[in-house]
Amino acid sequence: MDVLFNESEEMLQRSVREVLEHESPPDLPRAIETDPLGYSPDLWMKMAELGWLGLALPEEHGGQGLGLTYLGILSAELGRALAPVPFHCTQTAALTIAAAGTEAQRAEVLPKVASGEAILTWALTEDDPRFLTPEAVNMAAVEDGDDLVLTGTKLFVEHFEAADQCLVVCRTQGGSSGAEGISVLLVDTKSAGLSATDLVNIAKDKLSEVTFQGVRVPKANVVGTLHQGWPVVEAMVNRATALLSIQMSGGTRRALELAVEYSKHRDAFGRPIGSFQALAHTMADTLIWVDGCELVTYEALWRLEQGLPADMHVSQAKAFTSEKCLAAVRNANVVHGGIAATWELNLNLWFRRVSAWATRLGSVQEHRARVANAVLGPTGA
Amino acid sequence: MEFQFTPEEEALRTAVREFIAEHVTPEVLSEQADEGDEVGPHTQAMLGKMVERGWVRLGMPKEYGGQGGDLTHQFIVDEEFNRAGVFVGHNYGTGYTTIIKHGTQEQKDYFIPRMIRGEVQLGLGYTEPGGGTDLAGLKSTAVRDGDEYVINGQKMYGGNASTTHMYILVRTDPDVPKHQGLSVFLVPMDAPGVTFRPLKMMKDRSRPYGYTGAWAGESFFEDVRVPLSARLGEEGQGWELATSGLAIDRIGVTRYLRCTYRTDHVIDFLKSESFGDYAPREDPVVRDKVAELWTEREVYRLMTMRSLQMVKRDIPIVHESPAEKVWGPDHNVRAIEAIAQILGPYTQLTEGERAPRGGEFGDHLLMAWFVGIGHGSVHAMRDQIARRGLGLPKGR
Ligand SMILES: Cc1cc2nc3c(=O)[nH]c(=O)nc-3n(C[C@H](O)[C@H](O)[C@H](O)COP(=O)(O)OP(=O)(O)OC[C@H]3O[C@@H](n4cnc5c(N)ncnc54)[C@H](O)[C@@H]3O)c2cc1C
Repeated sequence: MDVLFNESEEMLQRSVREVLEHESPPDLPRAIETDPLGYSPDLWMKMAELGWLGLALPEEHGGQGLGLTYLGILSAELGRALAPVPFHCTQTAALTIAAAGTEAQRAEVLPKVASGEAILTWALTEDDPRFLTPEAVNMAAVEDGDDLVLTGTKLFVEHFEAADQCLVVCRTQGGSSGAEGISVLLVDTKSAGLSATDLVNIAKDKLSEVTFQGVRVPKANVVGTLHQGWPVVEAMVNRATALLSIQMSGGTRRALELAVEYSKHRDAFGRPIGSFQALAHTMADTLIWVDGCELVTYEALWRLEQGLPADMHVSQAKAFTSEKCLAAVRNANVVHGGIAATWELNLNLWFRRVSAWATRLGSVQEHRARVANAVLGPTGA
Repeated sequence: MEFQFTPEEEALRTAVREFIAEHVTPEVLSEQADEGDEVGPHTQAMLGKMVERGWVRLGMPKEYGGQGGDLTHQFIVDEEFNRAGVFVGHNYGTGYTTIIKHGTQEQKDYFIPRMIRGEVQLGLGYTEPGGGTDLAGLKSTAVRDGDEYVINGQKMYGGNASTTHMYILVRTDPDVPKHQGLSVFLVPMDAPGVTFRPLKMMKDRSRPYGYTGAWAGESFFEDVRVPLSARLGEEGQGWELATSGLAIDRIGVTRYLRCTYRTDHVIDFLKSESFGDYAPREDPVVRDKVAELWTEREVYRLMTMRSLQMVKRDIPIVHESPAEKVWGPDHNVRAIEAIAQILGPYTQLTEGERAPRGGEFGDHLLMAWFVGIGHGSVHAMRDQIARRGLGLPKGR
C-alpha cells in the first residue's frame, strides 16, 4: 500500500505547478471575478494545449486515458492556483459521458472537451439542497414524440453561461419517487426556454440559477438508461465530490503556506509571531489536517479509478475536507490578523473560495450519514 | 499511489488469521488480561510457533536481530494479533533495538537472548520527578570513578515489579550543552543502592487493548556503582539513543491500533447491542458522531501507511511522525469522550455483565488522555512539526 506519489505523479504535480505559477498568478483569479465571462479563455486554451483537459478521457476520443488520481493531482494544483477555469464542471460532465454515454455521444462530445472547444456543466440540485438523495430531484421531463420537455429550476449550476452543454438530472417518469424514474439528459445550453440568473456568492465564481420552461431535448440525448439514471448520477456525484475535495485541499495548502510565511516575518512583542506557541501549534494542526485531507481524498479517487466501492470513501473525504479546510483557511486568516480582512491581501482569494467550496456538494452531515450507513449498517435493519 | 494491499500481503493476513483462530486460545487471552508484564506459559508457547513462521520481529532489520522482512508484513501480523487482543511486541521497543544497534558484543550476548526468553525485563528510566517532556533537563548523574560509574538520582514511572534492569538516561558531563552530556546505562535492580517503589495508577487493572498497566514505578539510585560495561553506547551518546528509541515508539502499528481500538470497538458494540428497546445505532446524532470518529480513524490509518512507506522508500521523515503522534492521541481522546456521551452511564462501568465489552471503555476513560503525554507530549510534538515541518522560528 504505497500511499505516496510515484515518479510520474510527482512529475505531473511539478509540471502543472510550474505552469500555473506562471499562467495563473493571483492577479488572474482576481481579475476574472469581475469579468462577465467568468473564466480565462487564454488559460483554458493553454490547458487544452498541454493535454490537461483530456487527461482522464479515453484515448480514442482525444484524451490521455489516465486515471482519476492523475486528474486529482491536476485538480489540487488548479485549486492551489485558484485557476479561473470551468474545469471542475466540464470534467464532471465529460467523465459521466465517457462512463455512461452512447458511442455517438462520446464521439461527439469528448474530443471537443479535450481540445478545449467545448465547455460542459451539470445541473442536479433544486430547492432542496440535499445532495445524495434522489428525493431532492423533482424537475419533470415529459415525453412528447421524440423529445423530452423539461420544466423547472436548477440551482448552483457552475459556469452555465459559458457552457455549451449541460447534463441535467430530472424525473422522466411522472409520479415516480426515490431513485426510480430519474434520467440524465444532455441539454444544449442555447435551447429555447432556458434562462439563467447569477447566484452571487462569496467565491465570486460563476454559479447560476437555471430556469427551464418547456425546453425540448431529443430522446437521443439521454445519458445512460431512460428512467434508470440514478446510478449514473451517483457515479457522477462521487467523482465530482472527490474532485472538489482535492481541489479544496490544494487551495487550502497554499493558504497555510501563506500564513506560515507571513508569521516568520511579522513581529509582535519584539519577535516573529510564528514563534508564539499558540500560533505555531495552530499551524501545526492545520498542516496535519491538510495532509489528512489529501490522503483521505486520494484514497477515494484511487478507489473510484479502480472501480471499487467508494461511497464511504468519497463521503469521508468530503466530510473531512469540508470541515477541516474551512477551519484551516480561517486559521490562515487568524494568523494574519486584521490584514486578512482587507480586500487587497491576496489571502482572501483563497479564503473566499475554499469557504464557498466547503458548502457545496453535500453537507458534512449528509456525507457522514453515508459513512454511518457503511460502518453501522442502514437504519431500521 | 496505491491504496490496497498486494495479493501476497492479503495471503499473509489470511494465514495470520487462521493461526490466531487456532492458537490464540482462551488461556492465552486470559494471560494477556492478567496483571503485570510477564509473558505467560501459553503465550510463550504461542510465541514459539510464531518464531517458526518467521513472524516475530519480522520487519526489523537483520542487524537489529529481526528477519529483515517487509515492514508492511510486520504491520499486517501486528495488526491481526493486536486486534485479537494479543500483544506480541513485548520487549522489542527502545531497549531491544538500541542494544542491538549500539551494544557491545558482550552486552548483546547477555541481554538479547534473555529478553527474548522474557528473563530480562527492562524498565525505561527517562522521566524524573522534575520533568519528562524536557527530557534533556534531567538531573540524575553518573560520575566516572576508575573502572566504575557512580550513579545518583531518581527516575519516575518506568519499570514495574517484574523489572530486572532499568534502562536509564543520566548526565555524565555537566559542562557541555545539555543534549551532549547524556549517557545510557543498564542498571540491574539488585545492584546495591537501587531501591524500587511501585506506583499504583488510578486505572488499577491491566487490560487487553490498554496501553498502560496498573502499576508503574519509582526507582532511586544512591551511590550505585556499576562497571563501565553497564554503559550502552558511548559517553555522551545518550540523547541519540533516547531519541531514536522514542521515534520508534511514536509511530507505527502499535500506536495506530491503540489509538483506534475504541472507535472500532464502539462500532462493533453498537452494531450488535441495544439497551433495552433503545438501539443507539438508530439515533441520527449518534450516527453522525460515529461517522466523524470513523473518518478521523481512517485519516490516521492513512498517516500510518504514509510513514511506513516513507521508511520503506528511505524518504526522510520530517513532520510526519510527530504529526501521527498528535493526530492519533487526539483522536483517541475525542473518541472516548464521544463514547462517554453515546453509551452514557454504561461507560463508567469497569466490571460485571452490565459493563460494555468487559469495562474496556471505563478503563479507557481514565487513561486515554495520557497517550497525548507519554513518549513526547502533543505539545512537544506540535513544536517539532512547527519547526521541522513548517520552518517556524523557535519560541522564547
Ligand atoms: C502510566 C505511565 C507510564 C509511564 N512510563 C514511563 C516509562 O516507562 N519511562 C519513563 O521514563 N517515563 C514514563 N512515564 C512518564 C511520561 O513519559 C511523562 O509523564 C511524560 O514524558 C511527561 O512528563 P511529565 O509528567 O514530567 O510532565 P511535564 O513534562 O511536566 O509536562 C506537563 C505538561 O506541560 C506540557 N509541556 C511541557 N513542556 C512544554 C513546552 N515546551 N511547550 C508546551 N507545553 C509543554 C506537557 O505537554 C504537559 O502537558 C510514564 C507515565 C505514566 C503515567
